[in-house]
Amino acid sequence: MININIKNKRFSLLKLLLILIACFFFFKIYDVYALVNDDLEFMRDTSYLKAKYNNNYLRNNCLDGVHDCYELNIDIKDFFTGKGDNQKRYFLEYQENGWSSTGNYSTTYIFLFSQPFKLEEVVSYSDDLTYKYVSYHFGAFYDYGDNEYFNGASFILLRYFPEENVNYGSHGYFDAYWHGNLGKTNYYSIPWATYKLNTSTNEYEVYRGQENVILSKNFNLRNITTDYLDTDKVLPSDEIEIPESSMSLPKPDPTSGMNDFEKIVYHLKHFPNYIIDSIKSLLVPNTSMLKDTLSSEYEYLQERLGFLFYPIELITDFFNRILNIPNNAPIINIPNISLFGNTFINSYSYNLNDLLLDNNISLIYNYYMLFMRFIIVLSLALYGKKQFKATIGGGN
Amino acid sequence: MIFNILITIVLGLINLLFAWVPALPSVPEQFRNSVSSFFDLLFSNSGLVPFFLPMDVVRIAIPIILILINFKYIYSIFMWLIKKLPWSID
Repeated sequence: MININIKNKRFSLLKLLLILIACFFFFKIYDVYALVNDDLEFMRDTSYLKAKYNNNYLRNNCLDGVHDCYELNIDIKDFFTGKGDNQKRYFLEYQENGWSSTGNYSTTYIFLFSQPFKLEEVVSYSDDLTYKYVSYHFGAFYDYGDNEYFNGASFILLRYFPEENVNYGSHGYFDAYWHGNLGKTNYYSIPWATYKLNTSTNEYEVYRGQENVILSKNFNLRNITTDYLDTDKVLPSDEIEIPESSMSLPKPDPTSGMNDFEKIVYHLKHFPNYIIDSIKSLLVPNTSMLKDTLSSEYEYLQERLGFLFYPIELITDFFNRILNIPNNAPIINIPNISLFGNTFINSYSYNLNDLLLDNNISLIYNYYMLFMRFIIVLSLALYGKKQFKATIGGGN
Repeated sequence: MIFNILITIVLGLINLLFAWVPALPSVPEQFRNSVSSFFDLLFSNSGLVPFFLPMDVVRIAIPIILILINFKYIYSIFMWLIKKLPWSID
């Protein structure tokens, strides 16, 4: 064994390699999360969304002479290069039961609930370590009257980046984000985003939530109902038809447009990544294959082992329930308490989010949540260190 | 790739082993429903949990904890596998 002496401590190359693999495996943990929880709520939560409030649209008449159409000319900056050379032109047109748009890309749809509305652009970036993508969000927002809240109704992915290669929409992405009928003329979407607009700075923050629940605890929290949605027309997610065109968009070559010298520099620059990718593909399990294999094996063992397998089912069910705890509003329901015909406490419901209307409590709450995050991460780190030391520590 | 092959082989062997064993009866449906309703009761007010715990962190932490608990075995498998590879430097 080749060993390296550093300050009288011996490290074997094998151990270093193992640490390297452990690092790879650590990053693949996010995929493990995807194994146990198919929806990509985590990606939503960690997405970074911030954009300037913008009313850059022109109002025109539609061809039918009845409805209004809106034409947008938007300069979208490339998230990575910062170059604002992606001129997008969108044309919004009223269709039956909603609005749709056509643009440079086939995956551009907008649904509008009611007027008056505002058109917003949100550039989002998310990195789940498998996919790096940049998406552009155009929403038609319903004004709730206090000029503070808007409910986003649409989400548009224009491009995303698996690693550093420019790519376009994928089946998995739309499967995760879209809840609507994509295969028909009209497009419906469940609103999943809520926005807080700062009218003084014209900036807004975006908080996401699939069930129309505001995830942020920073401001006035309230449930936004979907009563105004024609729910009969919203298909369940398992009936979503994904148009073939959005699944088989061409994958552009990242080196296209470069001269030979730039290509050489590009490949030299990415050479370590190629090696890392090769080692990863060799040692890190393919999660999609692993997921399919393990789920089929789970069903097989469930069928063969019968009641012996039930404890494992229980544990799986328990963890699944924890992982799928909904982000509903924290409402405490107090029952009606009466004794000998006298009612002491009338039944009522209390939304804990109402506590956060007070700025001081909200601030304390934010610190509390930060502290909890810190504690969880610290506990994990300490436990990981302990396990690592107990398993590998000592000797060479 | 190596792990995929390895897992396929191991699972194939398990399937082969259990193919000889007759399928055992499942848990009675009533019992299953009772346990399920108990879980429903436990998790009926789980909407309060995200208010006190950052669920985005918890959701990531749970798989990590499971991996850390079984770290010894994962390490053993890795070591066994790496030692089998022809790139060993011994």
